[in-house]
Amino acid sequence: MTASPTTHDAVSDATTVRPVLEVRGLFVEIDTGDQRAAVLSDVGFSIAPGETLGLVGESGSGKTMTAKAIMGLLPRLTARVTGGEIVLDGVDLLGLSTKQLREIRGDTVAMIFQEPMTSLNPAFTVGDQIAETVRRHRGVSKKAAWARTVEVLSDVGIAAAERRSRSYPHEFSGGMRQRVMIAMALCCEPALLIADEPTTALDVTVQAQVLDLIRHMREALGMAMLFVTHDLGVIADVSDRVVVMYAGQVVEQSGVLDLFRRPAHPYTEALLNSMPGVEAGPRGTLLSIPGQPPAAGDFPVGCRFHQRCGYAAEECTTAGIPLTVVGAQETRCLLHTDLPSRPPLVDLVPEDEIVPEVLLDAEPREPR
Amino acid sequence: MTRLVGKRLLAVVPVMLIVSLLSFALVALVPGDAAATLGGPSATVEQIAAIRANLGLDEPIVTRYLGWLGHAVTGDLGRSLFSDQPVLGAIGERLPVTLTLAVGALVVAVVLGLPAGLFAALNRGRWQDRTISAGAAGSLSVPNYFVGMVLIIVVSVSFGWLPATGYTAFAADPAEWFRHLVLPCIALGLVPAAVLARQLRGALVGVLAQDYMRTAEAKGLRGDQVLLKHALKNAAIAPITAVGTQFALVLGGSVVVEQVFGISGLGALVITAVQQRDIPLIQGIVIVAAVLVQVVNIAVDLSYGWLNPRVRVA
Amino acid sequence: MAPLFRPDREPPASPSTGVLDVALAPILRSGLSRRNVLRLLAAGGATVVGAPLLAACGGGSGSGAAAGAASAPLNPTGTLKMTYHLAPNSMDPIKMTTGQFLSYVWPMYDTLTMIDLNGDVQPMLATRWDYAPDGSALTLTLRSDVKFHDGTPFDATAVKVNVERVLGTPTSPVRGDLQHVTGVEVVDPTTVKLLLNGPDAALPAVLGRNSGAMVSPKALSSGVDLNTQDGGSGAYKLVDAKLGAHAYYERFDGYWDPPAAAVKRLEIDAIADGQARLNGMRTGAYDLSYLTPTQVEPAKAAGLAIAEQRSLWYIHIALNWSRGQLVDPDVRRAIAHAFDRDAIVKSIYFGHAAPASGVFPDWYWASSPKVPGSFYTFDPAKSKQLLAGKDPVSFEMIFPAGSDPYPQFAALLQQQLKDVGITMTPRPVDINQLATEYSQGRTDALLGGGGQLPDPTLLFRTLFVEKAYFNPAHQTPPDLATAMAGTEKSTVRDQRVSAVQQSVDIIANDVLNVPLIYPNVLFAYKPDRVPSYTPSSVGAYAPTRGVGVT
Ligand SMILES: Nc1ncnc2c1ncn2[C@@H]1O[C@H](COP(=O)(O)OP(=O)(O)O)[C@@H](O)[C@H]1O
Ligand code: SF4
Ligand SMILES: [Mg+2]
Repeated sequence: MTASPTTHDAVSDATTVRPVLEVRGLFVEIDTGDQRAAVLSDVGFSIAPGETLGLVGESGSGKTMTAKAIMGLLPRLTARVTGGEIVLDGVDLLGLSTKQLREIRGDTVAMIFQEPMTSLNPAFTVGDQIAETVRRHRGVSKKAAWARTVEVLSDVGIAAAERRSRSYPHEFSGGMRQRVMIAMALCCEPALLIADEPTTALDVTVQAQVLDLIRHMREALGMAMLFVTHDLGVIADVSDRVVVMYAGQVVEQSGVLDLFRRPAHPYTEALLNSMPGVEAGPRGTLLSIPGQPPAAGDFPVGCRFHQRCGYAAEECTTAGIPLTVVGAQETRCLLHTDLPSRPPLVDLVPEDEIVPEVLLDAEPREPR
Repeated sequence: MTRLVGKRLLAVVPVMLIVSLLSFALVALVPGDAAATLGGPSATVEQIAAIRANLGLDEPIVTRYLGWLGHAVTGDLGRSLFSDQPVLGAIGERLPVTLTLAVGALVVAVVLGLPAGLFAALNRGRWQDRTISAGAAGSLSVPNYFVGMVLIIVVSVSFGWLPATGYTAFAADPAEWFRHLVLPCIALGLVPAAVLARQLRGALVGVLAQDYMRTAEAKGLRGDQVLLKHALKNAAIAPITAVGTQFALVLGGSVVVEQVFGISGLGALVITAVQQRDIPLIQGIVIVAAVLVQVVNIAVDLSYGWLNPRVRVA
Repeated sequence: MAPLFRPDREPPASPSTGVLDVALAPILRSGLSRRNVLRLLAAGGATVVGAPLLAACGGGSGSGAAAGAASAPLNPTGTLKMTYHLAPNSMDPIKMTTGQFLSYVWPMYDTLTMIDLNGDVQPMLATRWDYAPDGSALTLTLRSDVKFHDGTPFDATAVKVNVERVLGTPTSPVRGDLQHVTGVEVVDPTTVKLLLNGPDAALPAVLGRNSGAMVSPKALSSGVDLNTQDGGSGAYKLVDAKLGAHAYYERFDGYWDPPAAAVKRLEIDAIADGQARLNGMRTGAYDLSYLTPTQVEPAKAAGLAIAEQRSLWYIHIALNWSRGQLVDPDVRRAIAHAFDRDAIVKSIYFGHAAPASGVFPDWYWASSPKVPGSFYTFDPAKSKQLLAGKDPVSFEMIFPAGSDPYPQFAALLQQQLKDVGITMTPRPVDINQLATEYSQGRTDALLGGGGQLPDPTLLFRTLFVEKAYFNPAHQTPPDLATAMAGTEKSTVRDQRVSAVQQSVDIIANDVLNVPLIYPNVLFAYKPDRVPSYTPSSVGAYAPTRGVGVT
């Protein structure tokens, strides 16, 4: 297997159709009060129509930032995109005015959030909040918008949608609220749905139902989805392909099966090892990754993972590591190029040992 | 809803009783009464005594209060001791002026305070925010009559843009009515504007950080929909409460500002009434002012239910 | 009928200044006096606006500017807008509680006699008045060409109706003015006889005031609400009255003395706050305004003309001479000599006043040559000598709370008394309650105003007769009682003079009050609008008869 450094915009899957979303070389800085810290560096990936891309990484790795950057929802006063492109349906969103962005948001691309309890406006009925989205993007009458609202609410499994549409958020449970959020995101049938940890805050019993609903709706609408989670188990459930982020960078990009069979990056491997249900890592060591991910503004020179990497060598600490294509995968690790003394990581991992049952299991997983 | 209003209105009754009793007692307990003034300068001792007896001023305060109350509950607030006008008539002549001033002041408060609060919140921590905060702090520390005097000197006397004194009824000349209102309303409205801006900024900073605001943005709503619908309704409780509280203060403030601008409103009337110990008139003004304040309070309370569905009685 | 103890009725005090003082408290605490704050403000305005205005008017102040503008002809269809510091409690003359409210009466009501600007009684509806030789009646000869605004002719019956109305209203503040009138007899349509229980030399002057204001008998019988509506025969008809706010009048075309109504419309706005009045003048909202001494310089700087008039108005310390150490005439005398009146004139009234020792100024016919303004010389040594061997004197003096310039005035008096070893404790009292507080014997002394009456007997009645409400001693020295009674009995001025002067002398010698100054009456007017203006020397009234605009 010949590995060669590639540019960041390499797309692993040779998709012939135009991607719904293509993120290239995205850099984002944030004002932390005393300094400007890079939170995203050179983030790139693409999503094909109908495809679900999983975005995984520990908390703080920049997943939400990435999602927000796509939505144009970065903190207005503190965050700034300093480079890159976010091409949605052929249009570079970064070149759009706020006004133009507002036309696209909620229409072509929609988002559901991690916090169902607080993401709905307590002062308006849920129906109102959905209907206003419909009216905003479809320009239909109040009546038609309301009809669509009731329809989409019942689509997401809310019983007596007609009546419930007139209820206020506080009259709904968390799971129900997330269904409302899903309905709100889907009411204009977006081409791309961004789901940022949509089940994380939910009761475990409800998580599976909501996840199911999202999967079901994605299929029904045939839309593309960026599914953000820190939970590899959920990734296994929903994604076609997976982007792994660490410290504001994409460190691996693989098909979901590849990812679990032969993680191309030591970080992915560590993540897999720390998955509950995996008793011990391939080396029988890791249950959770030791140490803390570096905070934005505090990223180490060289490989950003080197302080926590079991394979780290001298070379890993000197210069930034490029993303390298390794077969159908991409990885930001020197093990594939400059460290010939070591065998490629993929070969070190026995396939049968790491394929979790969950991968093969279409049923919602039991609470862990 | 109607029941809620009904309940609130019922609660007004004891408030009015207490307010009327307090004001009656206050006026009765401070030295002096109307008789000496009514008698004129050449009055004799007997004349003053006769006037006092005639007005019932020599009766015990409790008897007098109950007598007043007995009429008041039937809607009869009596007549001014000095002008012999029906109290309600005298108040009715002045109330529109003061009410116009108060409402105008609140309009100024909203026109200045709302955008200032919005703008400050949107630019939290930046120089714009700090400028507005400083401006608000400044406005709060300058008394309204002083603002009035400065406005008069600059706007009226120096530039001659607006009148410095008096009031023209709307019916008489709408343009003049407006011109006469501008400066006193600004003088009266600056403090409520500052209070509103502060409260709104504070509330908005909190609301803008809320997840549902991100949702509103994510839906692609227009900027004005996001701010004025989603943010404002949630941020409104504190500012509306503040404005409601300010209403009473503006009513009180109009007493001084009316003097500065030579406007004959309720403020001027109350000064004379108190100085002359014109008890029926004082009582009438107190009652009317208290009713106004209560009405505003009820309106503010009702707005809570509308603004925040969670406080609605299930 | 002037208020004795209601300094709010007089400049520069006004009810509002009390409120403003409360409001100004934070600034005042910073060390600036209220006056200085107001003057700063006024001066600020003057420096901003004064220059262009002065340039335009060629430096107009006082009569010079007025004379310059006098060449412009009067405009008979013009409107005279004036602002006055007082608002009447009622437009009904016999319900008015304060003498200066007459300013609102004169345009709309004719009075039987007229008090001219010098304070002298002149004919008006009555062309002559004659006392019965025994003083048992006063016969009035009436004009025959007078109609009320409602068309009713004015005649003797109208006089009867009106006089009987006063007699039948025991609660009227002016009832006491007719204390010697027992009835009215119509002799013929132009002759009417006021029946008296004794001679009353003050009656002609009284008939020029509230109780002499003639209301249409038709208006009275048809129940017109005189509180706010017209019922007169004056040069102007009342067209719009809002009590406490304004009174607007329009020319009465059938008036018997056409030049009296020099303008088509007369508007009087009551503005209690002096600064607001001056602002109204500066911005051109008014042609004529009542002025306070502190405002003279700012008004001049703004190009306004000043009309200044000496007057029968005085500021004094009313003493309850039946109380405490004030019973001792030497103590009262010591107090009277303790004051540097020239300093008061200068520092409190900015020169717009004259020192006073008696109740009448030197120029007035009723003054006594024995009691000139300088009668109580500023003589601390004498005061100390008078007090030698006595217990240390201390007394309390009330003054109008917060009314400019009384607080400063009281403080100055306190200091000057202290210099002769007298402890005076000033106590501010709500303006309208000073009279009650004083009259009911709850204090020793009162700093306030008085006078402003067109007849000396009227003054004696308010303050010095035994049964006067405002005489807290409730007694009168017998010689004074006799002298004052004498001022009523002789109905010819020359014959009255000695009785009046005798009264004045007794009051001054016994120090029954301590006159301090006679303030001048001040008005500001726009020289380009009002050719000239002469205030009344009776006091702080606002005569408008015959005043026109260009
Ligand atoms: N509003 C903010 N201000 C400052 N730093 C932020 C802000 N939001 C996120 N960050 C930082 O940016 C980095 C990425 O955060 P995020 O995208 O939320 O991570 P996650 O992968 O958990 O979604 C983290 O280091 C976080 O501390
Ligand atoms: S580059 Fe080096 S430190 Fe980084 S992941 Fe690869 S082996 Fe580990
Ligand atoms: Mg996140």
